[in-house]
Amino acid sequence: MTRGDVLTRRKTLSIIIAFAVCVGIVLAPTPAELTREGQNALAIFALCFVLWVGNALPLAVTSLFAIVLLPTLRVLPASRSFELFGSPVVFFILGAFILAAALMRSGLSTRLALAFLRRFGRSPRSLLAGVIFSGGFLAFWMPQHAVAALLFPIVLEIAHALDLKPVKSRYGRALFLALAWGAVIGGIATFLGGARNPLALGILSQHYDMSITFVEWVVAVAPFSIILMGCAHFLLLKGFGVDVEDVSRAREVLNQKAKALGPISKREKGVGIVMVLTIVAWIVSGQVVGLASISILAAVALFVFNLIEWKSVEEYVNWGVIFMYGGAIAIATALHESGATRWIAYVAEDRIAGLPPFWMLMVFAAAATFLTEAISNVAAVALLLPICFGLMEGSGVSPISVVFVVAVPAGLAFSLPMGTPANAIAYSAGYYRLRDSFVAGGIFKIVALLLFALVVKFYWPLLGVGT
Amino acid sequence: MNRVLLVLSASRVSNSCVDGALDAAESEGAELVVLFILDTVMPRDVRERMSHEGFLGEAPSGRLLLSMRRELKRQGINELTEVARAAERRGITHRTELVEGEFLMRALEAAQAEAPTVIFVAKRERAALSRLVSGSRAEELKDAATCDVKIHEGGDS
Repeated sequence: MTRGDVLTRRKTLSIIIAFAVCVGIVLAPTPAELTREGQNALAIFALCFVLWVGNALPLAVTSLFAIVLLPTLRVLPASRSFELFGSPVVFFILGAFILAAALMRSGLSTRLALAFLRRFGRSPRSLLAGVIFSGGFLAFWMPQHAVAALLFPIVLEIAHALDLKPVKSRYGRALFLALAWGAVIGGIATFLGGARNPLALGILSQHYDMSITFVEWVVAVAPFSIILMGCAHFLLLKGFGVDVEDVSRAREVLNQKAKALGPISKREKGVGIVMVLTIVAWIVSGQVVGLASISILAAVALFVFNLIEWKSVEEYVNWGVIFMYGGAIAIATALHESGATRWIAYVAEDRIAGLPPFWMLMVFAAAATFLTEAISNVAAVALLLPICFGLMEGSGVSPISVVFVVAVPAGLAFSLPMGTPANAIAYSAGYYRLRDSFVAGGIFKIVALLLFALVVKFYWPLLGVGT
Repeated sequence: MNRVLLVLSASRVSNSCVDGALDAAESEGAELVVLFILDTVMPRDVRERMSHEGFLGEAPSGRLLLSMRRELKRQGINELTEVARAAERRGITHRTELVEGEFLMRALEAAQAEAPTVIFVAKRERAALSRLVSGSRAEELKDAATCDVKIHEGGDS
């Protein structure tokens, strides 16, 4: 049996289980406290859960399926279900992807990465820090997966220049884990690094008509992200050590690559200016104009000033992104509007009554951080957040706190290649074994969770976000 | 002349496996055929995830795929060179081959073409759950091959 056969068998099994669970829930007697619509919403939710976990269909196709099932099973009217595709969050994400495409297409992202690495790359320790911080910094402004893909060939050339042997070199293992971890950690800090953050915002808005501004998010999460980058550096150095003495050849490679880029082009300058103005606009007028409107205006500006062509956008953006996020918001909204989340809260009330809100939030954080190792972090947010909203209803905890404790840990996938494409990219080079990322990533995950608990307990209350 | 087939790939490299194959070839006076398979599945999986989960288009994911394939090829050539040097040092007649494709299929094709007396292969290091669900290609090779197959645990190099 080839691997292709195995994958087909696994996918088929996932699809059968997903439909069986869905049909089982639909046909089960409706509990007294649950509406028929709520029960059907839970059935669709369960179907998506199994399909997302089993990776049986592309994520976007599962979302698209859910959109159709919602009116079919009479959970939402068709017009309501389809209009959720037009959620502002979806257009914010779309604009952000077009901006990222312009950054990559112009070469500005590569130039920034090289500039960062050259500044850091004076010793093995600082070079490792350079990989983490350049990945992290870039993932503040563009999708973390794109950052990992961008840095991958650069880190490979560093590894070749230093003659690091796959698996045998401890520094090589650290370097490639740094590539993945830097991008992952940076992805939690803004709305741009990981689209799960704006998705959480969209679900919040649909449920409670509340919002979090760009600045509020960055102030709440970026310090944690930067501390985590420092921790990652410390742990990788302690865990793997440094078995190279001189990185001057890596510096030469970086200098050569920077030289090959030539002077900064007009297009790069233009994209840089649009990017900076967009961020300023998100900060200054995000609440008035709306994040999504600014994001789309920025995308339009790229075309007006001839900084990108439509063909390039098509080459750099997979349009499934619209279906995925539109569908995820539709499922979450359906759970809320059908009363399914209220029923979950009712059922769980006896079990969680008496648990202090802080510990409930920590349970959500732990659930998010472990679930994200097995499924896409976007799916983790889409699945967990509506349930957590339901569980926290009546507890007095702000839904904004719930958004933070689900969306931020859902981005912290450090252990398994399946956790996030950034991990899969770094692992594919073969410089570290699964056990390296499993052990080191597991330890780092626990450290990150402990630090996160401190942030929730002591830092966020200073910002008015707390339990 | 008897043949010993050593099957390697980027994720299935093991010192004990290589040593076992060299020892067997030396003691039997056999020819050592070293096959390095450039696994096409993993790069394709990563590219697919970039597209389906990361929602990045063809340009960045295609470039990434190219980088990964180049790296795997470089590693394959290095590994084959090292094994060939070790075989030379011990006076073992040897041949090396680099092929691209699905691991099990390529390994079985080589087993059929070379008709070895024994095959040495390392298990890819994977999570227990993944192995439980998807099985082991090395074990499948053992079941399908007509000769003895020695399986070593991967990741000891």
